[in-house]
Amino acid sequence: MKNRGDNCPLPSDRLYDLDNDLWYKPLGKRRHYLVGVCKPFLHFAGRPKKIIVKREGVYVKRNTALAVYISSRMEGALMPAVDCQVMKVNEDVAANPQVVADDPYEDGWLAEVSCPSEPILTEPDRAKDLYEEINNRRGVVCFAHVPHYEMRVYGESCESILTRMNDFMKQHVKVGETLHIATGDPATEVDLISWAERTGHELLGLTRRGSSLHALYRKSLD
Amino acid sequence: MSYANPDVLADVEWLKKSLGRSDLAVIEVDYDPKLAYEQGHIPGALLIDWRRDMNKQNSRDIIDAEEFERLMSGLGVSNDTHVVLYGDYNNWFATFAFWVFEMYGHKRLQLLNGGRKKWIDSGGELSKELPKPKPSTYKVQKTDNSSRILLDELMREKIGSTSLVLVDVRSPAEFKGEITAPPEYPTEHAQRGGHIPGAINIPWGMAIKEDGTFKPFEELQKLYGSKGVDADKDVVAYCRIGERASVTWFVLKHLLGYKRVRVYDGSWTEWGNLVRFPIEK
Repeated sequence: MKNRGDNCPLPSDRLYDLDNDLWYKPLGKRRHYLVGVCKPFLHFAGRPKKIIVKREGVYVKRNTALAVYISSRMEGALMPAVDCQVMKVNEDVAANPQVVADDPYEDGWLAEVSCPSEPILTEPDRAKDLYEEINNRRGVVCFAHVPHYEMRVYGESCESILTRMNDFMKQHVKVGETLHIATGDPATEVDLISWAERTGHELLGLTRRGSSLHALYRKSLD
Repeated sequence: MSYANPDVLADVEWLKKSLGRSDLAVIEVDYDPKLAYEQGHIPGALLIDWRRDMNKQNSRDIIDAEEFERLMSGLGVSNDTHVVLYGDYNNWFATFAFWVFEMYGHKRLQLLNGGRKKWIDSGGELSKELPKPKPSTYKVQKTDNSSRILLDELMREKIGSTSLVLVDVRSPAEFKGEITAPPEYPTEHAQRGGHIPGAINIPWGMAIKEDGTFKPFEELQKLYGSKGVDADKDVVAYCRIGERASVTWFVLKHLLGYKRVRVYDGSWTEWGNLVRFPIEK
């Protein structure tokens, strides 16, 4: 399966800054944009625990944070393509950062910005091709849904992988949350399917990338 | 009251003004550089990849003095360089590196208060450019192991000692054995969950404010004092692999000024895997 297409869409009505993983939607006024996070980045960085967007009126310089992105594995910066001023902030993001992971291109927008100079941005078709390379380099696999948790199990037997999956579901995952399993054992495919049937957890996606197998489950029962 | 040894902390605003000084080396210490350093680091900062650079690859141990010399020389750090460490995961691995730098006697050493998070949040500039350091010649003058305790020493000292306090700095769920590893590292766990008998649980994060910087002296004193971890005690901190324990070690030794604080870096991934060793839940 190719690592592009619907699971990591890049809407055609906006432009992209691939260096900083942000999309820009041109608004009515010149060099005014609605800005948000590209979905492939969410798969790379993990679901946000917290996103701190700079306040309205603040001038944000290039190479500094328009927003601080904090997940269980990243303390990162979402930076603008050029110096710009924050005109409006999506207050919902501070209250519920999950909205960015669940709906990155609509309700999960970060801020409206005004840029004195024109940012250099990439058209959607070209951005899709470039993201394919970026995702491969980062080892990102896109699912329809950004997982709550990720477990990478390489160099272990199938039986041990399933034990770890059972433990992880029991110890960390709440009903309704999702777990992404990455394994290096391609023979595990059948077991990954039957594990869902046996445990009752929903298998949301199963995909192969090179020598790795990736499965996404939603916990259905306690 | 200020910290016992306030010089060990570097402030982000001070660092912003000091970048580019020729005697200064800013070093980012990451568990996962792909998600941190490579995404953008303090301009000119060097990288220490914790798993690759701070640990021996053929046995479970920190690097020895010779390996530390090679690492420093490669990074262009000299014995008199002013080193400021910071990193990912709330400075966990940077603090572990601080512990190692101190062990090998590096004198001009600071930890960036608040780490990556504080730097980014305060509008600090980030760069993806990789610095090209000019190799130096670094020589370890003296190794001081007094901040480290190994399993056999812990076994020997724990028995019959009334002044030894074991502080388990992991989450309450790990302490109680409800989970065997934090969800960020699910595959790096021990065979059994729980804690070392007699240990008390003071999670590392209780010493940290919301913005990632350390709580003030009085609050820290109250936090540890109220749990019986006093300045006259012989304190051993442990966690899962030693990284979070080094944060508590840093607080007790440098911010509160306790004389005898050690990290048991074998931590739970050693104790929780040992056959016939006692465990409490």
